[in-house]
Amino acid sequence: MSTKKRVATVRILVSGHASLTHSPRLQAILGELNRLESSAKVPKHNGWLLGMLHTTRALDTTLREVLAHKGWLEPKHTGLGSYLIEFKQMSVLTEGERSKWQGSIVDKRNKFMHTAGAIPTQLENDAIQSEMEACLTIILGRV
Amino acid sequence: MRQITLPREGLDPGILEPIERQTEPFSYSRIMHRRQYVRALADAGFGPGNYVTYPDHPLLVRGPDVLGRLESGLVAWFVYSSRSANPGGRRESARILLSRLALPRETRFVMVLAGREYPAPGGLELVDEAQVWDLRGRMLERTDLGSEAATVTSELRRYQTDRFAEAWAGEPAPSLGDRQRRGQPTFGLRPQEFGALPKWAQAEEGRIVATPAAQVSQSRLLPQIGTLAATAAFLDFGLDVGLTGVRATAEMLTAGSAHLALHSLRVGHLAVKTARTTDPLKAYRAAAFAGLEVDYQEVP
Repeated sequence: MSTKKRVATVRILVSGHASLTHSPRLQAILGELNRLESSAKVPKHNGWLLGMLHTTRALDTTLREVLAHKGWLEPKHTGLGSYLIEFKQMSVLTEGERSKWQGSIVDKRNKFMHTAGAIPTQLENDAIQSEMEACLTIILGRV
Repeated sequence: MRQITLPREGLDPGILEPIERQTEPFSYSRIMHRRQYVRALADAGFGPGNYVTYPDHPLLVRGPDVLGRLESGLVAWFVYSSRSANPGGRRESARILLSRLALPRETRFVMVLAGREYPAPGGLELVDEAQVWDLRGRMLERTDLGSEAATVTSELRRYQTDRFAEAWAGEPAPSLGDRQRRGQPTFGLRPQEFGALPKWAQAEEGRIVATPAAQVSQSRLLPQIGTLAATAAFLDFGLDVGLTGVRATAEMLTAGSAHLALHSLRVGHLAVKTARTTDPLKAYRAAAFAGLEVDYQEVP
């Protein structure tokens, strides 16, 4: 399946999900998904980095909005790692899943987002992006 | 659920002509025309931009044919336009059940019967609604099938979630407790018919043990994982007797007298370097969702 199809699936899930339909950030999240689709046209490394950036922004904001909708959002929740911990505490995720995604998404993403000169290979990029989309889709399927 | 607005003129009848003329079940042109037809139906049912045909869900090898949104929320369509398709068959009932477990619980599941009659009663048990459309893309009738399928699958979710976490993330959820004290595996509750499995998979004491070749590419592996996932779901949830079996499974899980056991997928290492798709882990994630514990070593 193509990136386009995966993004289209996430877009429908986000825009039709009961936790997000009234979110003031919904259009911003959908905007990130549109930019993610456009980034596939940017050649190689720049495109991969852009894709990772837009996916992570869509993921972070979506999870934050879900936490807010559920009344679970607290000031200590400042990023993806803390959102995953909260979902684990609310029994949406198991510790195994949280730990796996901490390693396969948060840590790897941080390396490429915060380190000058760090460029993912295509495989690294595909793995991180698809895991981020899976994380988002799986959590939306459970809340 | 709001009434769907249909186009006044209906679809171009030419879209369906090739499907009606052809007798070959799986020709390329038949598949392409079916896709075109499903898109046209979804356009009529949801409006442009409000749906995705053949959605790519990270946990499903084959999900619904259309995932759309209405004002009332998400809707998943399973479209049957061929008289020979059997919505109550092994693969189709497993596809609908796994989709119910993967998609948000508020999703409404609809069987769309396009240019064909209703299936046998058992074929409708797992959906919330049936709609009959004519070949020009006009809805002729809709039947609300009640909420029992939604209630029963909702009871299964916690157990399915815990098993996926164990199969995929490798750590048992605390709620699972000691499996030995939680009764027998659900796949042992009824006489089993495994059906067709890939050559590299076999049944061992009721569970599926699959060992694909080390270098098999994801594009070849994915459809075979689909077969394994359907078989595992069919056995684990008692789909041989339809919703009755799913309900009995849910009751036994709740009572603690049975558990969703793991099957096994031994891949040696993840052959992600040969992936053709942009989701290199999809086959393994989907396998884990169907209960196949993925045993692998990551390629450095």
